[in-house]
Amino acid sequence: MRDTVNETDRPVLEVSGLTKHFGVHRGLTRRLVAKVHAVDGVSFSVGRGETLGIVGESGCGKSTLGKTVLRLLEPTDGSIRLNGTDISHMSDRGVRPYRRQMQIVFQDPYSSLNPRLSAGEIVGEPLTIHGVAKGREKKERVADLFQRVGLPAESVDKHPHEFSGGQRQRIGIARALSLNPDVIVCDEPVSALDVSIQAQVVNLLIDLQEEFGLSYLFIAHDLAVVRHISHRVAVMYLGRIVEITSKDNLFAEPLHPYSQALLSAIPKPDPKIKRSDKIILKGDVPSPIAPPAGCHFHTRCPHAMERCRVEPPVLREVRPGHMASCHLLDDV
Amino acid sequence: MTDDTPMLDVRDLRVEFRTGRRVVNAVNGVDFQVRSGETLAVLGESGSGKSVSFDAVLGVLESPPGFVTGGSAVFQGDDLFSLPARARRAVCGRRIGMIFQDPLSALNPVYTVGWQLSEMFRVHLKTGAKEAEERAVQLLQRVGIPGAGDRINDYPHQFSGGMRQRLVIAMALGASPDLVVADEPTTALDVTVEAQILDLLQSLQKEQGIGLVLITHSMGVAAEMADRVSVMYAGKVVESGNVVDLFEKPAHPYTVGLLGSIPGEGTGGRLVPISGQPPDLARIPKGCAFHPRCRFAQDICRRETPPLQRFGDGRSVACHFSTEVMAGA
Repeated sequence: MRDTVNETDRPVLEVSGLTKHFGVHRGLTRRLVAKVHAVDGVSFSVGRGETLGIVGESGCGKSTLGKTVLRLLEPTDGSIRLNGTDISHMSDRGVRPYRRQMQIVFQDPYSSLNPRLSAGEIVGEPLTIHGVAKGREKKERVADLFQRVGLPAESVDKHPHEFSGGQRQRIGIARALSLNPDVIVCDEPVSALDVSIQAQVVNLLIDLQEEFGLSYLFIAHDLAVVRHISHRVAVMYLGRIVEITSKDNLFAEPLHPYSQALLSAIPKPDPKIKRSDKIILKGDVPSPIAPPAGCHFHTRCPHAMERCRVEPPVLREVRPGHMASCHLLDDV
Repeated sequence: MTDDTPMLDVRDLRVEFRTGRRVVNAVNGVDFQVRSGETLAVLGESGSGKSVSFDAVLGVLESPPGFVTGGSAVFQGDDLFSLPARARRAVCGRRIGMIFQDPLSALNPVYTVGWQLSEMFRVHLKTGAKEAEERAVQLLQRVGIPGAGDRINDYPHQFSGGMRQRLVIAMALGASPDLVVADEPTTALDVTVEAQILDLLQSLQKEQGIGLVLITHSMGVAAEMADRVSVMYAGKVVESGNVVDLFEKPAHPYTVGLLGSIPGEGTGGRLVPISGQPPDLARIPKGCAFHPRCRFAQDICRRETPPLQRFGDGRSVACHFSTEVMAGA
């Protein structure tokens, strides 16, 4: 966008059939005894300047998805296309130039910053690694980034422990921005922060998106935040996307029974809404080592039928721009 | 709200932490009243003193470094701070139940859950071993653990997060307490499981007419569960009142800020966050502790600490400009 001239409507990021399995090994010979199906055939795309929210409960594979998209984890199957180039099978060296186009902001602003480096060094490090800028130029770029994310210029030489949680997250955002990426994967970027600080960081992310035309893959379990920041939202359950559509569609009329329960479960900050209207699911999320056969959700689904226990539903366009995977929707 | 005299009456509670030469004023004169059958939500961000206050009341404050330096806590006529340790444990284990955020740290990993649950009956109610075990099974059934009869022989690690929290709730309710203090009981859980646990707490509370103190940072949880809400900031209650009034017409700028910070139904746009950060509790600003972050702040806020003023309808607010705030919000 900033460098290329011939501009098309092609999505910045296209993910197709992405799968990531982890082996579970036991014993002296590290025999493979089971596989964790963390991400199981996930497809989506993210347009320029767009935010795709990924929501789901712990263990649904949303963080693994983010890391696999960035090639921080090796995909088991499927493809990742960044600006049209398939990066899913590139070597570590080959993928490096593409890393510049795709960056990450982590959840924990405490463990994701090197405590021995100053804030300025942290933000400037990617510039050195990718040979983008050094010396005076680098210094200027860092000062500029500090200003953009709302960090005081004089704090360049401070170390991470001297910052509050919200400010640390700003450092992480500045680092992600330093290489002028097209896409930023935000993995629970505000969930470690207090509410009043969360709002500051969410506002910052929205401002930066407008300013730089960034695309976000926004991974979070907090539906209220996802609703606020996303254009489209994908709901994940046990490694699969069960519903993906525009934010307005999803929140106005969730189609998948899991999305319905998830939306209904969020505590709403309005004391006049009665709790009794809630859909309360039974049980917990099953283990991704042995996900239930058929539809993964059938063990907890209030509408499960015989068919759901054997046949996995396909994610398909139920209404224009609204995809869901549920047998109940077959007649829709 | 069945009875008008509070079963728990905390007045002017003060707690400080002493580490070396540093003194951290974690709780600076707070009042709480809880009546039977009522849910009080204590709402605040990290470091606001919400957990410390109730740790102090229940006698589980780690001391040192924490010290109760003032105030009183009367529970059903017993002054908790002047009771001998033994008598206090009897009150706090039996008539007051406690639920903590992290269920795993509240359970002993080397004993079966059946043993841990029945221990409570043996110790507090002096029941025999066999009866204690039967009651443990009943208790597990009541909190919705499937196959309770078999599962009492399992160890805590064999339960999922939501099930562990059910165990902890079972333990808190086991001795039929009159009051339950739940400190962030669902923060570590996923939303669908959180909904189950809140549902369970609410129905158990209604069945037994107990008082419930729900310590939380979540405005959603407070709104759904509470009858009354006390909002804490920098070790003080800045506003308290009926949940509907407080969410509809907040009278303290901090409450206004909290409500403005939550993403709502609106389509995108900007949130209205509170600027700046919570103060360092070793150096709480003079006057009103919130003044450096407050958009209503005037000279008087920098000089004088606003007292907690009581209005009609059970609302109290500590702000020099609460009338203006209420009118403007």
